[in-house]
Amino acid sequence: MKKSDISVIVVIYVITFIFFVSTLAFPSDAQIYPMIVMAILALLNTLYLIQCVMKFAKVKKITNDYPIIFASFQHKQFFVVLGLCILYIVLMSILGFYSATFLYMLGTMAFLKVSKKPLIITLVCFMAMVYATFTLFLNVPLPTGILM
Amino acid sequence: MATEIINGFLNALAPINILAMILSTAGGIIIGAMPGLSAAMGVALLIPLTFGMPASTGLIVLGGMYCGAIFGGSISAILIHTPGTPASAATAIDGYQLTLQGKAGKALGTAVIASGIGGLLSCISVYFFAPVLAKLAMAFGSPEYFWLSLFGLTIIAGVSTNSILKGLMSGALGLLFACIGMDPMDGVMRYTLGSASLYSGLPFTATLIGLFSMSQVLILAERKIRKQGNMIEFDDRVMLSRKELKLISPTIIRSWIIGNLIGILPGAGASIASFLGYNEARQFSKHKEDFGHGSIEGIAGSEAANNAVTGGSLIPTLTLGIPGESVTAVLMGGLLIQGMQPGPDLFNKYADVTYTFFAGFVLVQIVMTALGLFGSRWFAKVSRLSDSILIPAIFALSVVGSYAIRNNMVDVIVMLLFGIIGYFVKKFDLNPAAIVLALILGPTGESGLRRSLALSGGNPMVLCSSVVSIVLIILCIFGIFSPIFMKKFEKQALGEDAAADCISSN
Repeated sequence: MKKSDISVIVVIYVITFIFFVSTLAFPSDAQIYPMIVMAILALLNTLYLIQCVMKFAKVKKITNDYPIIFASFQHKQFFVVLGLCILYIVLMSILGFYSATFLYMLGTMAFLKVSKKPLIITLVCFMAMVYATFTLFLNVPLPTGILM
Repeated sequence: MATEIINGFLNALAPINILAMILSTAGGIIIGAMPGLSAAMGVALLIPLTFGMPASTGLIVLGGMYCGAIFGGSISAILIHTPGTPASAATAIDGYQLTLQGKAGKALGTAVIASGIGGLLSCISVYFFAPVLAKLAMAFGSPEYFWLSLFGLTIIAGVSTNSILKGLMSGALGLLFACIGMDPMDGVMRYTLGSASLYSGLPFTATLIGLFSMSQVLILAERKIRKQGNMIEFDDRVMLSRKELKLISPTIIRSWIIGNLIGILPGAGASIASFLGYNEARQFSKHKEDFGHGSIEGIAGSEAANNAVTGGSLIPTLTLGIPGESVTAVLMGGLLIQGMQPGPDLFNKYADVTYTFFAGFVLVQIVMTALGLFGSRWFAKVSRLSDSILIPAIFALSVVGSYAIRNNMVDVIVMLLFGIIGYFVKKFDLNPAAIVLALILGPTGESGLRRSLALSGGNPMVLCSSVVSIVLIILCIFGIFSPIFMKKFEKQALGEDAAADCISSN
């Protein structure tokens, strides 16, 4: 039995429970289909739990497989990149798409240590490509931000 | 039908379509050649772009990306012994050996020609079988559609992961996500958290982009950044001699049949086909001793088979709406975005679009061969792009892509959330393709089930009252247990040498 299996089983039960509680507020007819789906999910999860317990009974050991799943995990890099992604979406609503994209691309590439020349080339080419495709060709009204 | 086929070719030859083919196939080759980026990710990112195009052009773009990426995987497999996509793992065995011998051009030439011919021949089956199978779908009522969606789900959920249960759990989780939005019968709002943007359900394109593209950004960000790769430069000829072409021809034909059949069979996919093609090439070869040491027959066997899957896999996707693997599941999303439902309508109401797409698919194979033969050196250079550039570029494209369909910021947030979910799904060996498929098939299955029950006054026996339903129930049971057959299939296909080499290459 692996630690990751336990996490998967717990998370699936939690998701099923949250959906189950929300479903109770629906009229009875509308409850039936989601309840069937939840019952199937809970049943499959329980079968998986039984399978894991049977494995545990054989080897009598819980293996910590997290070091394998997250082998060579770069903590700082991962969370900064994720943080920049979230910040980008927030900035997009304030500054508008093009300004936020410029700042996001610049910030992320600078953080990931892209040297000056490829950084500028990528930034210019990318912005030009997005402008040509989405604004000129597809006429998509991209967010202008609250400042505009 | 002949008129429709000819008209299809005439439409597909329009300058805008030719341009779309060249650009999308080139884009596909580049994405396929970059280790870590998948064909499904490329197709997912392109869907928003195709939304504003005429339906046939949009579908040709997605087809070009699909075929290009499957071939592109062979470039890095041959030059750096790292398959760009899992479908090229078998190509790496002999391709890299030839590169070490200074014959990278010959290896790439073999991969290009085998991929092109394999893909081209696979289109024959699309023309022959797709309309026939679509007619079969006309016999389907609500109960049959319920079982059909369940069959599609069981087969992809069962095959694509190491654990059958985890695959099925992914499918069930996707069905639960598909419940978000308005109840199709009673109009009740389900799990929308009060957001009007979720009334019509989860935004499909944004969810798709999150699960396949944004999650890939996080996977690239968690590991040490891959700087510009050291791709081996080569100067030998890419074109093959007449003798070499004669040598690989029977292998290509065999692999085409294998790949095509595997493609039609939902759930198997290009990676199994390439190993089967490779193994059969070795079985029939007069130079078995060359396999594993740089055999062009080995490369041809693998590449013709994985590209022959592309045409075959379109058949169940377009006719019954059951895509057999992740790329076709995403491609089906592109079809739905255009407002077209798989089934007989594609061959009647939308026949002009469908046959233009088919013709485009044929021409894409020719474009791919030409680009591969004349541009392999260039593609090899472009695919050396560092992860530090790919990470922000993919994310920014994911953001603009998910926003573009409905001009709604909620879609961007959904994309981000599903990107994080997709990251953990991949990490914990669940199946993102099964989740996506459940999002597509969930509403069809729910409507089928609830309509059948409503029409029969709540009698569940209506679900097994027709022959088609019973056949589909048997297929569902087969779908659940198919991984056992597939594993046997894979073991047979891998063979001991290939398995050892494949493991070492990963």
